Amino acid sequence: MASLFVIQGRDQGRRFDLEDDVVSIGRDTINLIQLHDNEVSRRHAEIRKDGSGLVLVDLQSSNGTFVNDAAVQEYRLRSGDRLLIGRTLMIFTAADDSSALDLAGEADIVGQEFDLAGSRIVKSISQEEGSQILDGSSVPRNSWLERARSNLQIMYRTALAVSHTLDIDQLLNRIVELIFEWVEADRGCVMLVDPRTGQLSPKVTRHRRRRTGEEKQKLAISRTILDYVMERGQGVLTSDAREDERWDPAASILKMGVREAICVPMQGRYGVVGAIYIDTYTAPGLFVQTSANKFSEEHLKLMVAIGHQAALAVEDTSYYIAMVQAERLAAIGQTIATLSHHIKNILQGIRGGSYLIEEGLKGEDSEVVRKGWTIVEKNQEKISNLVMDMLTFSKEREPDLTPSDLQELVEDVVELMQVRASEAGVELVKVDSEPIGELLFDSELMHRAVLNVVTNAIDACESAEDSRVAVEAEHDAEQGVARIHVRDNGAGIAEHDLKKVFALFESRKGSRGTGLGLPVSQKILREHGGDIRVQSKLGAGSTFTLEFPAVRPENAGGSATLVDYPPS
Amino acid sequence: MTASQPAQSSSVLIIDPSAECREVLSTLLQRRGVQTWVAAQARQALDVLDRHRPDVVVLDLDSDAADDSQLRDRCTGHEAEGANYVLLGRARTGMQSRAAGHVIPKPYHYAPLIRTIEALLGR
Repeated sequence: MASLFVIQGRDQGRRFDLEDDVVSIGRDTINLIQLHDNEVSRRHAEIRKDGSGLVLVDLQSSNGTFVNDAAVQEYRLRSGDRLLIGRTLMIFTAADDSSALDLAGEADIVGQEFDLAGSRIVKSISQEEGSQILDGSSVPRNSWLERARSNLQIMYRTALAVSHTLDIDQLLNRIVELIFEWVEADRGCVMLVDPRTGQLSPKVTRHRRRRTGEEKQKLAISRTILDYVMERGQGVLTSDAREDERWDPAASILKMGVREAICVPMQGRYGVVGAIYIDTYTAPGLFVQTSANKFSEEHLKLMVAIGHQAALAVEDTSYYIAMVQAERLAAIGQTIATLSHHIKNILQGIRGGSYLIEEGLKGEDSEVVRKGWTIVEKNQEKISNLVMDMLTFSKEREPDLTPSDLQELVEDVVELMQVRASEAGVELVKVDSEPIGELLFDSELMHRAVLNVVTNAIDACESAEDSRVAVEAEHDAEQGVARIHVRDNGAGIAEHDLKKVFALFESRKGSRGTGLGLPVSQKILREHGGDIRVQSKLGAGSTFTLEFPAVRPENAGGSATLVDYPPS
Repeated sequence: MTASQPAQSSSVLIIDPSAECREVLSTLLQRRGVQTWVAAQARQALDVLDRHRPDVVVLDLDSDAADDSQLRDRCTGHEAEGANYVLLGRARTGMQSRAAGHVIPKPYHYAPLIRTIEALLGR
């Protein structure tokens, strides 16, 4: 489906699907796409379905509608278009991007025998060698080539430095660090445009080591220079700011005693995202010994290129952060919706039970009170299980391995679940097997893991005839593992559903299932270095096998450790 | 006969996937002298509708039964039906018309639900 994704502005991270024939965009709540942006008109624009495509139409908005930096009245949207409405920047993605397929017809990857023009490999370079070009020990001495090589090296390193980070502050720090490595700057600062206010705000500042006797001064940056850079999108070099006529009306430079400064815009794909400023500082009245300029035009050019590179990285990073944020919000939303649904059902049960109790008390009918109380108790158990599952699922923890008896644990679970099983008309039994003795595992967690699987098995059997759930614990000394088998003769699980049984919030039990039980059991077994397997046949039932490494307390040494799994 | 005494003909069909909810509501209604039927599935519900013609139908909108097109047609009034409907939960498009005044969002309290049902039964 075609969509708009907000990459800048207050709605950053939101994605709007364009499914209706007409999608209105504006500040008012009546719009299908409501933008929280004061520079957007109440009814700003519309996207209309037109044949196979989508057409963006400006609804005589006050501030206009822009696509790829050009004002538009009516515009047929193409994948990758940038829509600027007010301060909100969005990327349009068409429903079906077939450009990749089209290309396939135009290029062929041919086999060895197809020797098109007798081409042969003249020289090949490994990745490592490629980087060596930049360090240049083998390159002949030639000032132009050397300079070009050194510039290329800087760009190469900048490109490497700015990739693979999700932290904008860290990214900017790396950039400043690089700049300081090759320019004799005393101070540097990277400023980013605040998407809300449109104002520049400093993000990273850096001072080279102070000369002795010099006071550390707060970095003050001339607004005159900044405005010039931001308004014109040009980098500037001031070799001696006091003599430069362009700055004449402003006294700020004189006051600050700047001698040389470079300020470049951070020009990205979608606009200027900020500015980089470096200078060599000399306090007013301090005698300057150096005569040669520290900054040259070449430095400026390179800074402009670095500014551009940095801006692209900042844009990519913000875009990526917005995507991650959107996905996270969607996941949180789904979690809350699912949990609320279960809690709502439990609450409904408690209300019903309490109302029965109230009614029974009023009418002095103990039978009704008992009915109500049973319902309240059951729901109390449900909410307790839900909370325990939520806690177990949310926490990463090491199991507390203590010597425990697996047979006893299984007996406990079977006894605990008898009432539920008999209510569901299911026979729940523990299969007698060889005594196991004590093994090391977290009995509380393992109890929960088995309980969830048994609960599931009972629910799977509910409508089956002569339904039976059998639980069996065994110790396989040869394999060095302990297993708990939970067998039911219930409905069974279809082949395509088998993959989903351990997926979070995937329940086939309708309103009864939370979709937490099996994922929690799986997590517990994995924390023990084991896992759960399931075999199932539709209509014949399922067998869940919980398996984990069997460690005897006496073999565990001083501290309990988990052995490798699966055992080799 | 006084107003608090039950009318002989009062009957209610409860369609709810939750056994607890069915039990609570039918207990409460029976204590008020109302005859009740319960159903978890659309098939059972349709069977009761055809055979017993209940005065009021209480339908849980989260149930699979609420997705059944035949049952839905009866709720929206495409087929003439004598019963009044009380829908529990959030009504989906197309279901409000007949039961417009009687959609009760979940989680609901039982006292107002009972009052609504009693009003529909003309008590």
